[in-house]
Amino acid sequence: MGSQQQQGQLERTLGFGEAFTIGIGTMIGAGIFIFPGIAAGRAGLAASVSFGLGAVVALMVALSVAELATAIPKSGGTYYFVAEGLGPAVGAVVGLGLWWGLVFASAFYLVGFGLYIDKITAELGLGWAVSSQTIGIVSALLLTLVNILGTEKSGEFQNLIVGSLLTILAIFVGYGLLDAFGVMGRATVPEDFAPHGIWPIFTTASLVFTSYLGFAGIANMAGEIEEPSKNLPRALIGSVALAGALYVVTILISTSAFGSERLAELGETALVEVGRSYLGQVGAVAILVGGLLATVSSANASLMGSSRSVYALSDDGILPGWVSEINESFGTPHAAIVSAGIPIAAIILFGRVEVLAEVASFLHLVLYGLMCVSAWKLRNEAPDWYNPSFRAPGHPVVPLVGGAASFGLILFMNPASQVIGAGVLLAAWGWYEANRRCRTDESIGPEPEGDDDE
Amino acid sequence: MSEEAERSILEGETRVLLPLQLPGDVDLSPALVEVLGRARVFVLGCYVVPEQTSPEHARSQFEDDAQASIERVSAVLESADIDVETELVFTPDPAHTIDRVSDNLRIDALLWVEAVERIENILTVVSPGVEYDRVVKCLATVATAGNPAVELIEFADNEADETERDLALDGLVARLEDAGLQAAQLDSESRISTSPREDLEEMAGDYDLVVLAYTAEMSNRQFIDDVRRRVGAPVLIVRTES
Repeated sequence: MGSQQQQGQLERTLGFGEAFTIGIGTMIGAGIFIFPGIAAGRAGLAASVSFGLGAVVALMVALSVAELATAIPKSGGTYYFVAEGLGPAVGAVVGLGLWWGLVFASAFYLVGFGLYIDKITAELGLGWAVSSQTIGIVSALLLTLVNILGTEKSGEFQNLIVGSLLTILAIFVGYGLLDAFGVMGRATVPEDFAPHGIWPIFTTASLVFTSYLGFAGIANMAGEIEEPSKNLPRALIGSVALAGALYVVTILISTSAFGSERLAELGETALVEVGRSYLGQVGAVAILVGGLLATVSSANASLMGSSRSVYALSDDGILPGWVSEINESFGTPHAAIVSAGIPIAAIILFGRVEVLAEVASFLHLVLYGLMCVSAWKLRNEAPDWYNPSFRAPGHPVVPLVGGAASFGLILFMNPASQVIGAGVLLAAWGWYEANRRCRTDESIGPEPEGDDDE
Repeated sequence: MSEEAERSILEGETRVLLPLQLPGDVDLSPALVEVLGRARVFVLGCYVVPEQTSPEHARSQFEDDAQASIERVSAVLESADIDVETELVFTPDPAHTIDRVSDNLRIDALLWVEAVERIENILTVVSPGVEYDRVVKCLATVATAGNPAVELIEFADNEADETERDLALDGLVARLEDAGLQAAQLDSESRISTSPREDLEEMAGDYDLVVLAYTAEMSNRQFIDDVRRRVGAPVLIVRTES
């Protein structure tokens, strides 16, 4: 209890479970429900290695992020992690890049959501031909509206969604494993491990890396997590490890059930057919429901994450101040939410699934790589203010390899995604420069951490 | 509870937490200020932040307004010579914040403010098996100014153990008299009820202040919120379990 002049406290309400759920809810989304068919078509059974590679890269990044988050526990943290380590210009570029990275990710999830709705109407024989894009756009606008109106206790709802998702996937994986080992007495499809060679394993890894996006969102909420030095690293690493394990096993069993060629033919909703082959109609419906829950929860988490990045950027003068204003009636940052929601709807209109996914990965991977570099640099330079309560093991190998691997994955993307991703970063840099020159007070960028009175 | 712990609850000042839900204005009736005259009051401003907004973000925009709302309430208390401390918390989960702060500050009771003209009668709901120490302490604090009538009511779900319950209730009356309340102020009743909540809401309309002894069933926050909303009178929730 303090005097009236003391600053208001910020309640920490998220325990390990909640933080872990945020990570899982963001990550397990369209990736695993959309990619098995595409990935198996590209890399065969070795697509499981692609997912595994993604997990290893994400784990190395997660270690660095955990260290940075315990040293710089601010809302919109990931932007500050880079800005504090590598300077305001780089920070601004990745901050703006993350805003758009999450926009692309959310668009990708919502297109996936549309594909699943499509599949359901087909399944029910409704003959209702609304394109998955239209559904995606309408959902983007609806999510924007819901978030502006503000939600209370949606955490419990989120727990329910993630709980149902994990249950569906656990049954799927359990059944699939028994099947793969021949317990169900059905022949599995024998096949070459890597029918198309080694190269596709890497290109597939860079495509499916979208399935890991979002774990760093936990770090964006560092200020709201109880006992962050303990819970942040556990939630970050635990959620990546669980998601990675689920993905690898799902790919293995899906491919062994159908063979990669057949899986590729089934395309984006291949997993539904795998579910049907295990448990008939019930299996198909379970996967459809899982797909819907997963895509919409990931899309929503990314939309909110994007609006938080916009706030951090506006707070630091990189975006205009009005963007971060909170609506007096709803208590929500309506302009920041719209700044994420409208671009999501717009790019769904133009985007193809694979390009949306890769551009999202591109922008996130740049941020991830730079966060690793920042973690490495800050640990080496050890400025006075840098006192992480969690120190990642394996320094300097983990941040350096994690950073190199993040940048490395970008090289395997298809050129269209690389061009769009680079274009976004270039535009971000242009914006930052133009903005800086227009200002005389040079108040752009974060206050140096050492001067911070908190 | 050890004898020592029991003594420490009974002795010393009565610590009352006044949670304010912000944004929003709270009108603290003079009658309530009078009731709090012998208590040590902690005003807790809970600025409720939706999930879409980071608490840090809300603080940067609304801190001044929130502090002003709290100050208005604390100024009213201070002008009545009441010992006041204040705290402002930006929180997505006010229930969590209230519990945490109550534990930290060893709060005896929470007062949910509602406009009231005068406090002439107090309805006190007790349950079988509740520790009465804090109930005695809080009633001794709030029911001595102006000598309001205090109705003690206990809801039981069946006839069993009736004698035992009556004895316990008589014991509570005796302890309240020891603590300084007049016998003429006190009345007690044990009632069989299958729906204590509805009965409480119905009865509460006739009283100026409702005192609830916090029990395990109330740990469901929704229960307290519902009762508070429907009762239409200020509610003092006595913490009996910490």
